[in-house]
Amino acid sequence: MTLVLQRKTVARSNQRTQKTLSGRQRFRRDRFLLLIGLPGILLLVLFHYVPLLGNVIAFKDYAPYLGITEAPWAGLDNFRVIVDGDPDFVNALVNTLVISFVQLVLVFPVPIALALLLNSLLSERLKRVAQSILYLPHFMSWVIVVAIFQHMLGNAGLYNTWARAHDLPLLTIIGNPDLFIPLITSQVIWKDAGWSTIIFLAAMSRVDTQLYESVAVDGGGRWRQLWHVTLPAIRPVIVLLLILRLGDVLSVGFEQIFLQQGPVGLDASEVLDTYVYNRGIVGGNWGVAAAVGLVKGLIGTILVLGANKVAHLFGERGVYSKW
Amino acid sequence: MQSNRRDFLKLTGGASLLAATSGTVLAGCGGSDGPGATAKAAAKATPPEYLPYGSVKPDLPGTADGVMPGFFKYPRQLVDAYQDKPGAGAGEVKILTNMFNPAPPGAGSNTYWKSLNDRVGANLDITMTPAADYVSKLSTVIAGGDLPDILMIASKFPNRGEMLTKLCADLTSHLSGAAVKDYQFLANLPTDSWLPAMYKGGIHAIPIARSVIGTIMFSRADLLEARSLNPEPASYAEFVETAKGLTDAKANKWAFGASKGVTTFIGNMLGVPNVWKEDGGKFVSELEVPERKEAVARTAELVKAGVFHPDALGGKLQLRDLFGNGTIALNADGYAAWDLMADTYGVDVGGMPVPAYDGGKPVQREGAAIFALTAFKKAGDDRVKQLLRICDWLAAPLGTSEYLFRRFGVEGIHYTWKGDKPERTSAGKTQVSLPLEYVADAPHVLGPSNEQRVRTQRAYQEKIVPNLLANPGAGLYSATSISKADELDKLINAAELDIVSGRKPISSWDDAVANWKKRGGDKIRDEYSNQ
Repeated sequence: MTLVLQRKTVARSNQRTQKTLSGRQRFRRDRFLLLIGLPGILLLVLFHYVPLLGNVIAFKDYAPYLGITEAPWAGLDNFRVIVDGDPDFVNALVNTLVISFVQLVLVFPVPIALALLLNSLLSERLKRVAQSILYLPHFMSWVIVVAIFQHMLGNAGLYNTWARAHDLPLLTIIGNPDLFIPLITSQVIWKDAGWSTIIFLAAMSRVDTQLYESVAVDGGGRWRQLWHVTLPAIRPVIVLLLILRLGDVLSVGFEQIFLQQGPVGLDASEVLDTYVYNRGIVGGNWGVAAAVGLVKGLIGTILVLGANKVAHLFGERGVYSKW
Repeated sequence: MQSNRRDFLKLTGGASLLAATSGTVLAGCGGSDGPGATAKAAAKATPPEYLPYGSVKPDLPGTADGVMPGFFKYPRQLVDAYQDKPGAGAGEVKILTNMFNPAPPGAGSNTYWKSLNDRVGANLDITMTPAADYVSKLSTVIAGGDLPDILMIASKFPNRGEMLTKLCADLTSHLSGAAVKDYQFLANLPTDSWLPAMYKGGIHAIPIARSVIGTIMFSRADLLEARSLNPEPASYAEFVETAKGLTDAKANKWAFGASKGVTTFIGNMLGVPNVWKEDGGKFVSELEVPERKEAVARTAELVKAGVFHPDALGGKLQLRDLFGNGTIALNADGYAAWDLMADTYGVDVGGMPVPAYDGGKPVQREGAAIFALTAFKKAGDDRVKQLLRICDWLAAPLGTSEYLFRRFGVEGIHYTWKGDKPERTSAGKTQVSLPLEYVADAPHVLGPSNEQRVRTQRAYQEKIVPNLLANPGAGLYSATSISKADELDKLINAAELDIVSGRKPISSWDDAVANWKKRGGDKIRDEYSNQ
């Protein structure tokens, strides 16, 4: 108890000293740190913030041959597909949300479970081998992953060609709109679940082993250790990643889906990113594409801020916090 | 597809923005011809004169209704059309075009490319993009603002009119009317192929010309014969019989590899108009006639009957390869593919003329006058002249040494004469496959190849030419069609695919057509009808 009190006073006195420093004094104190940060800030401004200005084409009837300055203003015309609920847009939005929700529920927990499993492996060597195997698919591009799935499971793929020659039942997985979401979800798990364990494993490695020992002394088995030590320890990381994931809720992976749209048709597979590409870039409707992208970005920002707020309400640190 | 869309927008948005703020909008294009300049050019432009180049006599002369002239052998008395190097002083020339075959070795390890640069007198830096992705590639290049010196504009590229007039060099003063005489092989291109290159009265590109023959339903004549099937069915029922006879699922043999060509073929049997039909000044789209819908329904039945390759629908199959190795036996493709497939795969290729569906008169769609356009980045007159001369050199026809080099390379290294036929060496086979014919090309002829093949091709053309049906919209201008053709095509193709694959009933066709009308179809009709 006293220890806690002491800590609080220390924290308070720190705050006090911070307040007494003027802006200039703080600047002088931190000038080297700021200098070190400068190149990063420049990159961020140049490649992330300056291009944001390009979003102005969402309010213009932009065409590449006119350029941004010459393109006539279009007011909110480009947002009409969203407001009026253009059926293709609504279809893309619904697909995006469904896929995102399914992936949030099914994909997000997989690396946590996998990390717990890996963490419980006793043999260091086995652990390392298992990790390497699990990481590997992450380094393949989607083009290759999709090609592998198609060559294995496609209608003219390895299995089906063999099955057809031997009068066995065929598997219609690729090109079946009903199985499209399960298909892409399992691809995401196969490709990235292993890679995503890294951050959880790192969090787990920081857990004080004495805590496990304490649970063992109190007679708790492995489940109790998991429930009372490991999970609480990695909870901040889980919340952090969940919040970041929410910001991406309207992006479900352009390449992976774009590459597989042909056989299943747009009704099942068009998501916001492919809609923007097909309608905007290939179809030449740049303004509409920018408008949809802008709204998507705004919603993502709102979700991140909202989720962060909720996390604070539950006493978590979230992505960032003011203090 | 390396980056995702968001990265892409960041990049392009950023790039053009930076360009805009520094006062050099689309710096890649130099010059500052405003809309006024093109309007002035409009007054003086007439299509380039047509001056056929006639150094060689064909064995079978062409006919007025569109049968192409045929050659049985390569002329050995070659004309050196160019005494100098056409691109002398041009330095580095960046070219962007599409290709259909596997990419050749790069300039560093390709002796053909080296000798090409040597003969042209410039360093040709060619970016080759697979045809299926070309429109996307072109869109991104244009958005990036840094145009190559010479670029192929796909014939359905959105907003190509504005794009050509605003971003690309105005060729009017170089090519209009008699001025084209400076470029004898560009003058050898027929007038109808120039019309799509003219916008707002100015000439803004050179055409890659095509004959009226259009698309052919190619058949593997050898496979048909081995199974004693009818290579020229006389009705739809016989056509289906042939298709079923060619299919052997257990052996992975199929009749077709893609649905679009089959739907068009069946539509031709039923007499569907060629894109548009003009009825007393009123335009009717092919999509609105009941026969078009029926063709889709029949294709869906055929898919159900299992005569299509399992990945045919919506997949991006390498159709020519599958045709060449016998996995599929029927494949609709442009007429130029006949020699290409026969030579590449060494198989016996035949053309299946469109039969009448069930009595009545079938049609053969007249092909578009161009495959694509080739435009130039804006530059000073001297630079544009150099680029035009390079294209003129590339368009040299049969009978010139330039043509033989372009098609076969250097004698002894890339080909050797075998009788009257230049035969590619193994180096020639891999190296001489730069897609130069998609930069500039001479008008096509039949052959030269063995007499029997040329005669087969000739017989096919003579059979179908009386059924040729023109697209009445082809010579007309529609701003909506120019800006939206690709988008509208996509809409219909997606709907067609849904039906053909059995995901949606044929009744959904009407909704798709209604959507097509709303999204621009009706507007195109109005624009055509009011001319």
